[in-house]
Amino acid sequence: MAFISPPILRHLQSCGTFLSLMAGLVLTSPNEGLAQSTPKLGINEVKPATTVINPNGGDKFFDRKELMPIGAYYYPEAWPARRWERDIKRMAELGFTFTHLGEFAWAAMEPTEGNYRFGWLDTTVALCAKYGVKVIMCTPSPCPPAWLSAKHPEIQIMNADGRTMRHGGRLQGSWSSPIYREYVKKIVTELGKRYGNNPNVIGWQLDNEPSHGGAHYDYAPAAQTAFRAWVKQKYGVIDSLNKHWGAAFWSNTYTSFDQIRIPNDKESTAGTNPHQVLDFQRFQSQEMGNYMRDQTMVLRKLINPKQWVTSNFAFYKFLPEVNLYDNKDHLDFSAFTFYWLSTYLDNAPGKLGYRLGSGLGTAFASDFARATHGYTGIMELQPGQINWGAFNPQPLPGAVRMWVWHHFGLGSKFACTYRFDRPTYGGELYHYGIMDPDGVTPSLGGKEYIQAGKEIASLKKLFNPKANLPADVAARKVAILWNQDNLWDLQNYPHTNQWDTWEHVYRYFSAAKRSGAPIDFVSEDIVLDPTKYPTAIAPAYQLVDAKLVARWRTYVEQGGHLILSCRSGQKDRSGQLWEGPYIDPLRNLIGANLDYYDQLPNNATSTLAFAGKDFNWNNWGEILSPHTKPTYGSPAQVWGQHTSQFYAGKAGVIHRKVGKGSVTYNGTDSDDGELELAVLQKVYAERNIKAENLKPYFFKEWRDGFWVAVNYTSEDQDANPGPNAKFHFGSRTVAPGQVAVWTE
Amino acid sequence: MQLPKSLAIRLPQSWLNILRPQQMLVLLLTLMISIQGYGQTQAQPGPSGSNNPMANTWFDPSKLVETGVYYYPEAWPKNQWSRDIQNIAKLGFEYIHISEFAWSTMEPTEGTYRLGWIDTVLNIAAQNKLKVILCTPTPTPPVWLSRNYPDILMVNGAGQTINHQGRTHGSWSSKRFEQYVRTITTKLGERFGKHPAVWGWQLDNEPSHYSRSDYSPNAQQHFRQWLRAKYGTIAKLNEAWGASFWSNTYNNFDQIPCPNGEENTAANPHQVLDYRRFSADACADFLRMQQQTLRQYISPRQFVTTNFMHWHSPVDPWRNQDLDAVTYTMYPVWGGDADSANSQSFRLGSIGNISWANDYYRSINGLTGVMELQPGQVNWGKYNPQPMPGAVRMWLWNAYSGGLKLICSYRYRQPRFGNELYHNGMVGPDGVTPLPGGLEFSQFMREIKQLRQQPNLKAAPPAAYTARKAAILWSPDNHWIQECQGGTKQWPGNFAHQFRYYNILKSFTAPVDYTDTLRDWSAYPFLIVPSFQLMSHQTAAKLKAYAENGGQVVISARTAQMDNRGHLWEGPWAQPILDLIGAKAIPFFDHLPVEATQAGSLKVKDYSKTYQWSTWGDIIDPKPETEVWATYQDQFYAGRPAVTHHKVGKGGITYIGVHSKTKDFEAAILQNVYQLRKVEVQQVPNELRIDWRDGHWVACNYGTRSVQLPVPTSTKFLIGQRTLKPTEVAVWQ
Repeated sequence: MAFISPPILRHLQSCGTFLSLMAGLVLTSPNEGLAQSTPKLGINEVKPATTVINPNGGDKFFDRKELMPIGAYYYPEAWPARRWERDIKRMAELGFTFTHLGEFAWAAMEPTEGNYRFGWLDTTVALCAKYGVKVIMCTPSPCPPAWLSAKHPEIQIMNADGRTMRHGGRLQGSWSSPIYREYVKKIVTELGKRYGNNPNVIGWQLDNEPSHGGAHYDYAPAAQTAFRAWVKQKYGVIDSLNKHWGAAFWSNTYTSFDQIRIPNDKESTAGTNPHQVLDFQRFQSQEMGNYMRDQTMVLRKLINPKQWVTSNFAFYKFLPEVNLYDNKDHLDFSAFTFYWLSTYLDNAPGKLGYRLGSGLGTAFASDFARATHGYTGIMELQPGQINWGAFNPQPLPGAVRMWVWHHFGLGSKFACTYRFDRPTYGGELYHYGIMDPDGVTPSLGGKEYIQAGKEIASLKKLFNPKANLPADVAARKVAILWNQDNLWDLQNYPHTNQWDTWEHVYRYFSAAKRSGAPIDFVSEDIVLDPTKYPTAIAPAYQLVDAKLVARWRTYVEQGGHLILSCRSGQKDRSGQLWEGPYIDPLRNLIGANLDYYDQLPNNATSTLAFAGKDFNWNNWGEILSPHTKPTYGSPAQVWGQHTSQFYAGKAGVIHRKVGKGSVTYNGTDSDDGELELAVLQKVYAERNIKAENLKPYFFKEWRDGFWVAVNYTSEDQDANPGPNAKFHFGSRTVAPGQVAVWTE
Repeated sequence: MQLPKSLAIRLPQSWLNILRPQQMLVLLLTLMISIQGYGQTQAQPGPSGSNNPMANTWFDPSKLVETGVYYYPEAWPKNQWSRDIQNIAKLGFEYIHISEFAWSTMEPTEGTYRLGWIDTVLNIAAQNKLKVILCTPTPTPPVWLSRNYPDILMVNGAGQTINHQGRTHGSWSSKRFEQYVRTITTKLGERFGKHPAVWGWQLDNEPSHYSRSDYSPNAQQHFRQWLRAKYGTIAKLNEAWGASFWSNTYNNFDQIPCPNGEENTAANPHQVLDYRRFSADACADFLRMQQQTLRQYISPRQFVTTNFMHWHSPVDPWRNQDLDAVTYTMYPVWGGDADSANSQSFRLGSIGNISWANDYYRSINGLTGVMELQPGQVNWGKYNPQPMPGAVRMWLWNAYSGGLKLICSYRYRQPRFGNELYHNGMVGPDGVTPLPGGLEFSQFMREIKQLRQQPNLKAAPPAAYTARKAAILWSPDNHWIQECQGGTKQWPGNFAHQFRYYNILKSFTAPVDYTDTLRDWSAYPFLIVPSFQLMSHQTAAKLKAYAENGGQVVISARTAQMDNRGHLWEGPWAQPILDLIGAKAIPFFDHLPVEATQAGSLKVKDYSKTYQWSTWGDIIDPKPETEVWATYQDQFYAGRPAVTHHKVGKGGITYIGVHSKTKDFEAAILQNVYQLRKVEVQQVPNELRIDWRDGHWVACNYGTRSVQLPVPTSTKFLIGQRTLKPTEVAVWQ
C-alpha cells in the first residue's frame, strides 16, 4: 500500500549532535549540563571472575569411553521392602548402570523431628552395590515432612495472592526462611555423613527441579525481609535505589529500606515498577542459589571428592525464573530434566509433531545446561506417555529411542529417566515408567529406552579417544550470548502480545542447528575468544553497559563475527532507557542509528527483502539509518530492506566489517525463522564457510567421533553424510522418529 | 432557598450525609454558584461553548484552542528544567501540565512540605510565556502515608490491600485519606492559587481506580452509609433489592457487604447497580471535596477540571458537571479497536473515538478538552504500532473540530524509567530530539495560530447543518445494569450499542450532543434513546411531550424494560413506552447463535436489501395505526415487525427492536426518520468525518483511500484540499 510519508524525523548519523529537519527548531545538545547532575549513586554487585570453560572438565567424574550410561529413578519408600531386590536386579539385567534415590523421601528419612530412619536406604544402596548399580543420592529438600510444616507453617512460601502453600505438594519450602534452611542443612548433614564415602554413591542431586513450580515466586514475610536486606546490600543508600528504580515516577520514592515490599501486580491497580520487578527476580534467583549452596557446603565437608554435586534444573519456557548461573559456583555441573510431549513447549511442525515433541527445546536445554561447566547430563528423560500435559499423547513408536540417541549426540554424560517403577498412586499416577504398573513388564517406552541404552553401549568398542570435531564443523561454531536478565526484562515487558523471548532465541538457535553448527551458550563471565567462537549471536540482548559493548568491539576487531538482533542495547542494567538516542551505546558498534521500531497486529504482514527474497514479519521490526561516516570500521551495508508499510525502502538488516571481524544487526523478528537462518548463512558465506541447510527439526550432531541424525519432522530426511560414512544404526534416509548413527 | 429538584437529585447522598453545619453553608454557597452555571448549561451548550460567565475568562475565544503538554520536573535533573521548558515553548506549546504524580516530592515525609521547586518551574514557565495547569497529586500518595496508615489503601475483591508501587491506591472512602488529600490540596491552593502563571487545576489523574472496585473496611462502611441515606429503612432496601429471592433479606444495614464477585456465587443485580452508583458517587465526592478545597483559595480566573476515563465503571463524569471544565483522556492506537475492514486502521485508530469523546464530554457542561491525547507510539497496548505518519496531526484536528478548549498531551519527554518507559513523548529519551508525534503537534500548533488570524470565526453554523442536530439520551445506569446482566454474551454493552447510533449520525454530517432525562430537549429535532433499559414513567411522558411538539424520537431494543431499581414492571413488557411506540405489546425477544449461518434476516419496507442480525431482537405487536418499517424474515416469527413508527402529535416515535450485525440496518432506519422531517443528510464515507466549528469546516480522513470532499470545486481551503488522502485534514469556510 503506497502512502505519502510526511517527513519523519531521522536522527542524523554522527553521534552526539542533533540537527532538526524542522526549520527554526534548534534544540540544545543532549549532553548539555549533565556533568553537574545527580551525585554518584552506585550499585554494590560482586562481578564474577572471568572464567574459561573446559569442555573436558567432566573427565574428572565421567569416563569418556563409557559414552552415555543409562539410569532410572527408583522409589524404595513407595514399595514393600520385598520388592526392592527384584526391581534392582531387574534394573541391572536391563542395562541400567545407575539409579537415583531419595529426592522426595524426607518423611521416610525423618518421620518425626530428629528421628532419622536410614535403614531402608542403607538396604537399597547395598542391594544396588550387590547388582552393580551405582547410586545418585538426592537431598529431599523439595518435600518438607508434615511435622515440619505443622510446627513451622512460616517455612512455606506464599503466592502472589497472599495464600500460603500447604503440605501436600512439593517445592513449597521458602528459600528465604532461616528456619527451613536450618532443617534442610540438618537432613543434608545426616545424608552426607552416611553416604558421603559410600563407594557405590557416584554423585548427589540437590533438591529436585528447584523452583516453586506454578507459584513461581515467594511473597512470604521471610521473603519480604530477605528482599529488603538484599536491596539494602545492593544499593547501600535509599537514594541510589530510588534512582535505579526510577522512583520519581508515580511518587514511588522510598525514604527508607524498611518501606520496601516485593512488587506484586495483584496488589496494584496500575502495574508494578519494572526495575523493582527485575531486581526481585534477581533476588529470588540468588536466593535459590543460596539455598542450594547451603546444601553443597554441607556436603563438601562430608563427601568424597569423587562424588559430584549437581541438580536437575527445569528451566522450561514456563519456568523462566530458574537461572542456572546463580548455582554455577558451587555445583560441579548442571543437569536438567526434559519432557518432549509436555504440550507447553515447541512442537515440530508436521502431522506427527505432537508425538515426536520439542526437539528444538531439548537441544536447547542440553546446550544451555552444558554452558555452566562445559558438560552436562540429562537427569529426567521422558520414558513414554505422561500425565501432566494439556493432553497426553502416546509418543510415536521409536520416539523414546530417538530422544535417548538425541542426547547421546548432544554429548550428555549420562541419561537418567523418571522413573523405573511406574506409580500406581499419587500426583503422577498416569506417568509412564520403564516398567508397567505390574512392576515387571517393560512398558512401550521402557523397551525403547532399554534398546537405546544397549545400542549406545555397543558403540563403546568403536570409541576413538583421538576423534576430533571435523574442521568444517568447527568453523561453523556459534556462541549464543546469554544473560538471564534479558529474558526476565523482556518477558516482564514484552511490549507487544506477539513478542516471545524464548521463541526469539529459538529462531537463532534453530538457525545455527539447521546450519550444522555446534552451539555454546556464553555468559558474560566468559572470555569471548574469536578463535574459539568465530561467530557469536546476541539475541535481543536488551540490557548492556559500555564495558560489555567494548568487549564485543574487541571480539569483533580480533576477528569475531557478531550478530545482534532487535531490542539489543536498548537499556542499561537497571532496565532504564539511555538518556540519548535509542540504543545509544550500541550505535557506534553497529554503525547505525535505530530511528524507531514497529509492531503489527497478528493478522497483518510486513515484508523485508533480503538477498533477493522477501521475508515476512509482524512481531517486531526496526527501522535503521546507517552512519555514513562511522567512528570506526567500514560503513554498514544494507543487507535487508523493508519493502512495505510507510517505511518501505528503509534499512532493516545491516552488516559491516570492523577490524578483522564483522558486525551484523537484524532488527526484525520473523515468525518462521527463515530470515534469521538467511542472515546467519550470509554471515557464513561472507567467509566462505560451508553450512548445512537442514530442514527445521531434523538434527545432526557430532560426538566423540560419532555422527547422529535424529528426525523430528514428519517426512523422510537425507542425513547427507560424508563420502566415507559407515552406518552403525539406520541409514542415509532417516524416517520420522528414527535415528542414523555413523562414523566418517 | 429552594434547590431545583433536578440538582438535588444529582447530589450524592453520602455527601449530604457527612456534612457538618458550617460545611453545609459552604456547600449552599457553592451550590448557588454552580446552580447559576447549571441553569445556563441547561440551555444546550453548543459545540463551541457554554454560557458559563467565566468561560471566556478561562478560555480566550480568540485562541480557539490552546495546546499544552505534561512535564515531570520531579523526574529530571534540575539543571535540565530551563532547557526543557524553553524547548516546549519553541515547539509551540502554550502551557505545561505538572505535578499530578509528585506528592512524594511535595511532601517527602509527613508534614514536611517542599513546594519551592514548583515555584521555580512556574517561574521558568512564565519566563517562556507558558501557562501552567497544576495538579493535585492525589493518585500517588507517598510511601510514608501508605506504610504508616495502611487503612487509607484500597482492598481488591480478593481481599488484598493495594500497595505502594502503582497509582490510584488511595481509597475514596477513607476519611483519613481525605484529610491528607485536603491538607496537600490546601497547601497547593494557598501557595499557587493566586500565581499568575497558573492557568487552571487538574484534580487527581484519570480518577477511576482503573475499573477496580474498593472492598476496604472504609468502603464497606461508606457503602452502608450511602444505603442508609438512600433507603432509610432496611425494609425499603429489601424491597428494592428483591431480597425475598434466595433469602437475600437483611435485618439491618450493618449486615450489608459491597457485592464482590469473588465472594458471591451469584450476584444480586439490584445490589450491584446500587454499588456502581455508590462508587461513582464516592469518586465524584472525592473530586468535589478537592474542588471545594481549592476554590477557598484560588482565583476565580483559574479553572478546575479533571481528566476522566469514562469506560471505567466506577466513574461517571456527569456527576461532576459542576467542574469548570470536564476533560478526557484519549489513546486511539493501542493495538485494539481497529476496524478490520481498514487494513491500516491499527495505525490510525478507529473513527469515532475522538469525535464521540468530544461530543460526550462537551455535552456535560459545555467546556471540555482532551487532557491526554496520544503523542505517538505507546507502551501499554496489546501491541504498540507506530501511528501512521500524519495520524497524530489528524487526531489533533479531529479533537479541535469537536469544540475543545484545550488539547494537552502526555508527555513532553519520553520516560527513561518507570512503568511507562516505552511511551513516546514529544521528544525522545535523549530529552531533546523531537519524535514524529512531537513534530506533528508542532505543525498543528502553527496551523492553529494561523487559523486564529482568520475572519468569520463568529459565524453562525449553517442552517442545513443545525437542521440535522441530534441528541442521544444517556444514563450510566443503563451501562451498569447491562454490564451486570448482558442478557446474551453477544450484547456489546450500552456504550458500544449507542456508539453505533452515534456513528450513523456523524456519517450524516449531523451535530450530536448527549443529554440526560432532566434537560430540555427542545433544541434538537432528533432524539435517540438507545437501549435505555431503566426508564421511569416521567421520562416516557417527557418523550411523548417532546414528540407531540414535533420531535422525532428513535428508541432502541431493551428500552424501558425496568424501573429505576432494575425491577421488571408488574404489567406488560416495557410498560412505560408501549403507548408511546404504538404497540399492543412486545410479546417476547429472541437471541440467535453467533454463527453467521444461523443469523436471522431482516427486511426494511421499500428496500430490496436484507440485513442480518443475531444479537438481540424484540418482536413487536403494533397497534393498527402504527407503521411497520421492518420485519423479521425467518424463524418462527417470520413476517412480524422488528421496527415500527408511530406518529405522535407533530412528531413521531420510531422503535428499533433489533441490534443488527452491522450498522447498515440502523442507518437505513435513521435515514427514513430524517426524511420524515425532510432534513437532507450529508452522507459521507464511513472513514471520513466532517465537523463544523467556529465559522469553518474540518474534515479528517481515517481511511486508506483518497476521498473527494462534498464541496464545490471553487471552495477555498485554509488547510488541505478537496481531495483528501489518508490522514489528511482539510479546513475551509
